[in-house]
Amino acid sequence: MRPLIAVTATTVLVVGLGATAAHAATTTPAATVKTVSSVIEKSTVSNRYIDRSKSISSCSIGAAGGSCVISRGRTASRSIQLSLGVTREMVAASFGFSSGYTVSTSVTCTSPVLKAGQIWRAYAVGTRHKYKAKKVTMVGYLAAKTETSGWLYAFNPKAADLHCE
Amino acid sequence: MSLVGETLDFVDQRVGEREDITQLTQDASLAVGREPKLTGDDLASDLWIVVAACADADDVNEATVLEVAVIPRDAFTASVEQRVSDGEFDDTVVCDFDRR
Repeated sequence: MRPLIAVTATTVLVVGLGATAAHAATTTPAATVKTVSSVIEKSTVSNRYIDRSKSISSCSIGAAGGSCVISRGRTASRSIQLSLGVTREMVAASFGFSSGYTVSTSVTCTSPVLKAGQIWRAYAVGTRHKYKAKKVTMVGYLAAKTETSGWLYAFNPKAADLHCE
Repeated sequence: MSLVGETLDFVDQRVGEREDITQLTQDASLAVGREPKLTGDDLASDLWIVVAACADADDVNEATVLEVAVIPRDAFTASVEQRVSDGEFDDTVVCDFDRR
């Protein structure tokens, strides 16, 4: 089972005024500091999001003009924004998709008749999600500090869908 | 590699079941006075003839991008074949990719 929280821990000596570390080691109990990161407030923004940030393939129409068919394999990127110690694997597991960086697609796109020099572009289509990252810093059993990120986004491409324009 | 003069069926057999290669197929019918009618269903057809081709590698087996321009087979007359040999159709492909 993939972890949905991330925990890191260190042990520190709490030394009072007028005391030395050696003295504290024999009289003052050590406090463990740990951080716990988690994914919160998950939601799906779109089930058919077109990732126009970059085309995954393009066809520049030749000198005679005409149409173009984009076919066979292309690679779309799975993007996941991270913050506050949340890992890629945690975010992917919380939404139920792979944490891998790429998805192969083989959908065919046929352009309309275009003029020479016009470009027919293919874009990945998939689900877009948003969430927030939360990090709690614990000193012993006390939650000393809680941090929450702003909205973070994840895009999971579909293998059998493509948008061309 | 020379796919010029071959059918799209021949191209399909050369590329096979590979999922790691992108194929761009330009319908250059306008260059022979025809309306472009190529669709994704024609990519393994012997009714389309390649008039220009390029890839990002000399060996198509190592290419990740293959671009071909095609015209209908019945438009590939002897005179058109001569024009192809003379290089008149070379600019029906753009080949806007980095060579490997």
